[in-house]
Amino acid sequence: MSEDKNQFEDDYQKLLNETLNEVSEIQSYSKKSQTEIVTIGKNMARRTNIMISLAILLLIVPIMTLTTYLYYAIGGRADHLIDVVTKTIYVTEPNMGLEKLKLEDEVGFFSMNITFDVFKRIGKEDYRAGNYKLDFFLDHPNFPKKNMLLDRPLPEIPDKETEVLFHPKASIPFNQTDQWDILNKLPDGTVAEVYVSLNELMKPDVLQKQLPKNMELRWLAVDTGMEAAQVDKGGVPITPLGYPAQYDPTIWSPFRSYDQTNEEVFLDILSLLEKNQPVAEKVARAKSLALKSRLAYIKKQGINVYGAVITGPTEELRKLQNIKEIRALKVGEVKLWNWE
Amino acid sequence: MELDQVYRDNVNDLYRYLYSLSKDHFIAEDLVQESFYRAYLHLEDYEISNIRAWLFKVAYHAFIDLLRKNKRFVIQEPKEERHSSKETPEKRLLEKESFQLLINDIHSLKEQEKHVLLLCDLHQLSYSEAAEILEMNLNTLKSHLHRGRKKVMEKVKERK
Amino acid sequence: MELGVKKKRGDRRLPTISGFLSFLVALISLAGLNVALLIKEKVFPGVFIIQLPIVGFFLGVIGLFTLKRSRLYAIWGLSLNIFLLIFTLLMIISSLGINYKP
Repeated sequence: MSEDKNQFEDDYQKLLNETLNEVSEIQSYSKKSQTEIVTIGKNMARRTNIMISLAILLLIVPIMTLTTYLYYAIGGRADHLIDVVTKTIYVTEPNMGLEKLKLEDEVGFFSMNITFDVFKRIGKEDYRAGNYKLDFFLDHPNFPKKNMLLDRPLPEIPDKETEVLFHPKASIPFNQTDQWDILNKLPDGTVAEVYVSLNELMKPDVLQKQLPKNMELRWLAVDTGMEAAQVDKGGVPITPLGYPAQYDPTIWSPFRSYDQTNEEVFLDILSLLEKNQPVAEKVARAKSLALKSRLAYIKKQGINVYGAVITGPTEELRKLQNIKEIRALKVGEVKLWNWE
Repeated sequence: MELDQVYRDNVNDLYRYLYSLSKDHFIAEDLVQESFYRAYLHLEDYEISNIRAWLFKVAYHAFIDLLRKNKRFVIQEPKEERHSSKETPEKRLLEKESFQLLINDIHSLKEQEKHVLLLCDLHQLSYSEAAEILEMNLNTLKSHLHRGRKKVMEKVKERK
Repeated sequence: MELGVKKKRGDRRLPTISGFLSFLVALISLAGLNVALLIKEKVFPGVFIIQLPIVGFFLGVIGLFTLKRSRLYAIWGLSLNIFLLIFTLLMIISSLGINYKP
């Protein structure tokens, strides 16, 4: 058996060796074509590597951009953020509005920045009050860059000393007669914006009836249970929450509503902001909005107003001095006549 | 570069291997080119200790991929008419009748036996190298080799 | 078509020409797109994200079905061109979903 096996192995090896000997001298390719084949292969491989690397590199930016766009588009994330930001302005900035239609957005890598102008109604005209620039990293906002064009802007960091609207139980830091002096010394033929603080809480329509004609109630500051102290539970200063007193004809304004009163819209906005408080707190001047407890307070107590922003001709505004419900007044912006 | 030189030295072996696999000059030539292209392309991916064995592996895979891509591809007998054309590497190989016969015998074997014989015997790779290329257990390889050799010898004896 | 039938010598080696062109067109389009994205061009150059990718797409299809050598380039070219077209589509859809103004 093993003999047999060896025999056939030997035969096989002999055959194999003969064959291999025959072909081993054959050089299928010349030196030149050998080099050619290897070089072509090498260059092709190099080209492939370069092209694939290039493709991968060039894919980075489009993929990041696309991911960002999809992130903001899916579920209307960007629109939701914009909504929160713009509505925060309406309820935290006295007598301030904006044109949402003209809001600009720019989407970058995993970020979006929005810019928009804010307006104040002084007299009968809307004046551009400034410009907001707000950067988002995904859905996380930075502090807005504000560029205010006002003569007497509200301080960026709210403080008891510099506020303009005061609860009946809060002390007033500025001298009353000074403010009336400003108003008295302004020439007739100007229009002005004034912040008035009331002696007692009252319903918005009651306040409206108290006011002389020929002036416009613009914004109402609502009692939320924290205004007496002017700080939240943690001692962080708060600013007034309120809402526009008039129907707002601006396109896409939340207060351009026929089937909801401004009070109802105000409450809707507060509940929206409550769910998005981190975003709202970046946009608002106050670093604390404490919306949960304030909203609960308003729902329990109803809407009671302790202050307001009024605009009209300066000579008309002087009449406010005779109204006993008005505890204090602070003059805001003044502009040239535009009343009639 | 040293690598280029090593590659160049193996062009002929690779051609012969691919010719013995495909029995077609043009396919073999294409695959030689393809193998070197791949060899450069995947150079970074492997720890290469044995370049010759690695090149055979690349060539083997190039051939297998070609088969997979072209299911209808049939290894055919070389046609006589081609001999009349100008001097080609194939012609030089074909002139050796015994080589041609041996290849034909090997091709009549089972697939795995065929590959083992081509690598180990016709191209003199070591058992472990061939096992690595074919991704085969060393013992399996040896038994394929043994069976294959036996069958080839039987065919040779029949012819005589 | 049997491979054995093909006897023509010459440019049969390695990736096909149309596959290569498809890949090349995709790379050019991608480069253009990158520039547009990086300089934050508001209006996208349509040629890079619509016309060229469509051309590249068909070149890639041709490259894929030509039974020549490697289809690597054709596959890359085709994938990149399809990516560009999908990119365009998704960008349009998502732009409409962000701060859309009539």
